[in-house]
Amino acid sequence: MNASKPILDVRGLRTEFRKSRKTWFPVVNDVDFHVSAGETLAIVGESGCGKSMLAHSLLQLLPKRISRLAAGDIWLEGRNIAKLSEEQMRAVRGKDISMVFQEPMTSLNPLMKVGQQIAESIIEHEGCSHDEARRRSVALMDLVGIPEPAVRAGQYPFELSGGMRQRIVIAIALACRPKVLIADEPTTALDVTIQAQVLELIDRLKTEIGMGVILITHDLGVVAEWAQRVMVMYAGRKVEEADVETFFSGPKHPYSAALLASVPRPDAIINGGRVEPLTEITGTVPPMDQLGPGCSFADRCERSADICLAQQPQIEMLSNGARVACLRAGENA
Amino acid sequence: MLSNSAKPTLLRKILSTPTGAIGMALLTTVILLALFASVLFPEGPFEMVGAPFRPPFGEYLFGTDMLGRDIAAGIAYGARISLLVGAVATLVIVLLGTVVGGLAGYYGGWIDTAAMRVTEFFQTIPTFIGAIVIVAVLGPTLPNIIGAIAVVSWAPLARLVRAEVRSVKGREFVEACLSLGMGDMRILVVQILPNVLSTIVVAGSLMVATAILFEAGLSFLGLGDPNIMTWGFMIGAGRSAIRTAWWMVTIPGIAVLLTVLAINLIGDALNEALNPRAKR
Amino acid sequence: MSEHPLLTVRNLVKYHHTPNGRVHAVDHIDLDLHRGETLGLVGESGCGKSTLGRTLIRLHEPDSGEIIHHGTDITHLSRAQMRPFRRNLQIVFQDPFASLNPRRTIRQILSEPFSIHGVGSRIEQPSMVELLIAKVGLHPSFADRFPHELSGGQRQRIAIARAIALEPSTVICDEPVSALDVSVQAQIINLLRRLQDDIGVSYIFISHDLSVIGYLADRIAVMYLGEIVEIAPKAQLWNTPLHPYTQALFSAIAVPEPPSVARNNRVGIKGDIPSPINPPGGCRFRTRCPVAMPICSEASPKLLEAGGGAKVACHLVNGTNTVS
Repeated sequence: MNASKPILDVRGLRTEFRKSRKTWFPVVNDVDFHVSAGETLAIVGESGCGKSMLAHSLLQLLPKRISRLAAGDIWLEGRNIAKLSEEQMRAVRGKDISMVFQEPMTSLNPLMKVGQQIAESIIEHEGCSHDEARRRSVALMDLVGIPEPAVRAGQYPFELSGGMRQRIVIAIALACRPKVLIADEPTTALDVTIQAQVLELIDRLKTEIGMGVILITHDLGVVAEWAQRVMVMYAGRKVEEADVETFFSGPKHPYSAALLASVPRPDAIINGGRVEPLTEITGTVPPMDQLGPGCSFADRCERSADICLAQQPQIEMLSNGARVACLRAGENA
Repeated sequence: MLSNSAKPTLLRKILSTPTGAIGMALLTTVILLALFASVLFPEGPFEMVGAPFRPPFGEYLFGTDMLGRDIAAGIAYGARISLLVGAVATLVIVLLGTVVGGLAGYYGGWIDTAAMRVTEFFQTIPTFIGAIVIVAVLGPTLPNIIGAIAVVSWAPLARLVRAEVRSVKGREFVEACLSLGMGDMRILVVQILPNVLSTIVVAGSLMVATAILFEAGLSFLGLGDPNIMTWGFMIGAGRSAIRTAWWMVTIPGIAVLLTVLAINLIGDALNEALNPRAKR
Repeated sequence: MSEHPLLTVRNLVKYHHTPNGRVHAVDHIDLDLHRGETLGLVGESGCGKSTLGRTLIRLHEPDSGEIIHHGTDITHLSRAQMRPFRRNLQIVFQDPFASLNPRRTIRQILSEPFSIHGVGSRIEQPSMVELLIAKVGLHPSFADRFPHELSGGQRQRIAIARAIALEPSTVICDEPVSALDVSVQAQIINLLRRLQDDIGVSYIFISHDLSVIGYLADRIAVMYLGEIVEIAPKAQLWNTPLHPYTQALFSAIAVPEPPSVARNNRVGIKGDIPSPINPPGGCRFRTRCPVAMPICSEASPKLLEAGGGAKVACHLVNGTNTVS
């Protein structure tokens, strides 16, 4: 695939939140990853694992008062956007990197016609005329598969269904043909048949525009079907990264493996097979401000040893090509 | 979400905010003044203690009025009435508002419709004029004044409680109670009302201030109980002498102002302590 | 299963009245629930599955039709008459943050079923509550906490404990795992299955997630816009879904398999779910159906036997069946 030259290359990213006046704790810790044009990278994890924090950090959308980008570089086509000022960042958002959020209703202005909302975004970044922007917004609505785009452009968000609204949000995100699209749980609020439509749309536009997609989700099925590579996060860190074929053939980090095994898989039991209990992960995700020195998954891990509590595992490449942060991953997996 | 090891009490939460602390300090002063009025001024507020029109900060702390009555004594005894009216009127308002609003919000349907028409009727009456009319017709006694204030003020609280009860009633835990076969009164009183309590407390605390203002206004217009010294009466009486004896109007005026301010500050602090969401 | 079903539903109708018109939430539904089984109820938003669940236990008043519980018609019982039956008909809701009263302790919440139905004395109840908490896999010390001190999964365990406190014969599970993380979801699913083995309860398990339904259910009913379009034993439905909507739902499942082994026969359906206020005439699915025929807009298909214990409401399936 297009793995040759990454369009977005994140190195050693560390985002911290304020705990008290002087102390900070990491919510995203030492994360490396990259996305190439025409590629979808899925970021997976349970709530509180830091995947949304990571996405917001890329665009510097976290509140400055309580958070800071403590270390790391975010290379967007040879330009380090981690060092940009708020002013310069504003030009990047929506133009070079766009974001689609989970709930389409809250990311649209309820009092503005949808066509106008798309046009606003075009005018903001490209400064073209209103007529030109309007023409392009109708074309964009056509691109994202909205029937009768000229009519729909004159409607308000509440007049559209959830699926249609999410298409509008995507149209706004794509208005300036961004290089990277971050989709944060884009289909969680949608019905299954609509979910497939929206993911298919993102997949099609990815190749048409030639952008890289970062798909943030908790749904491993969605990952298998729509991503090329997957990165699993736990307690703010990357614990595993692999291409989907490798990953779903057998995840190597105990957390990834347990996560995959906890998904109900009816196919195996449908024809008289015995119903085995699903794999449970005991305990809860530790609070990010109370992490010990060792592996943060150690106290929930079935394979943990004494060393896991003492030493922070580093990402290492395994023989199957997966990158895993586990001290015991190399041992007979 | 984080469970603190030591849960701060409500009082401590109020005192931890500057507004709450100032409000509490002021209100405590007024309460102490009211409690110890008969100790500090055993002769009572109507007793002529000295020469008329003595200026304040001399022989008498707040001076004397045109009949030589001690204004400080009037302030102390007036505090009793203001607090009494504020507390009792609010109690009546809260009871009436909670019962009507609670039943209307819980049952809906015709009960709700009827209750809302009734509250609308009371809301269309200009409140202060309504209170004047009631007191003028029934006579200026303390129970009538308290009753009049309650009658013109309960409707907004009833509507507030109704709206809150309706929203809590739509929550799933109420459906869970229904599916267990729990009775209506138990659901309303044990399950729903505790969730509405913070709203009632905050609204009620502000109601106290309004009631005190109403009472002062009625007394000022001469519709106060003639046998009782109140701040409103003192302001009304001093009005004619405002050019010669400014303190007769100003000092009870400041007393009203500070008391109402104190209660409003506490109300705000209560709101912040009980509804932390409103802050963010 | 010679004895009569636990719950029989005939021609059940429930409309919601909104300012914009009448929502056909539950439209002439027939259903049987047998002892100890799990009936999965699957469908997308607005299909009426939650309304059906709540109407079954009289949280909503049915507009017409019959609900027969263990031989007794409970459709029109008063609140007081209904009370003894509530011991047997319980519900677990989707959102564990909304379904527990934030002002009451876990002990108070779990004592309610016992107090209401006069089970156990005041002296016995505390230990009954602690036993109940242990039954759902939590430590009895949770009794004196408030809901906000618990995680989502722990709260859902408490909600389940409340539902099974009186050992009901039927529990409606209304999307009980949809708001939870995958690993927590697995815990709750395992718990529900274990409790079924222990106390022999029947579930009506409502979900939009076919994987969860497929894992838990014995039979599956597929709903679309207030109607059941297909109902069949699980294996039958899984291997040969007959209704075009069922087929579309199945093809929309994203399976966590390596791409090289995942089946790739997506038959995506176009368009949005029509408004349940004004559903299409004839077959309600015809506006999105890839194989719609002229007759589909004229007559609404009946839910008819289609072999193997399956019932389907589709002109295409029913037509070929009667021909052959």
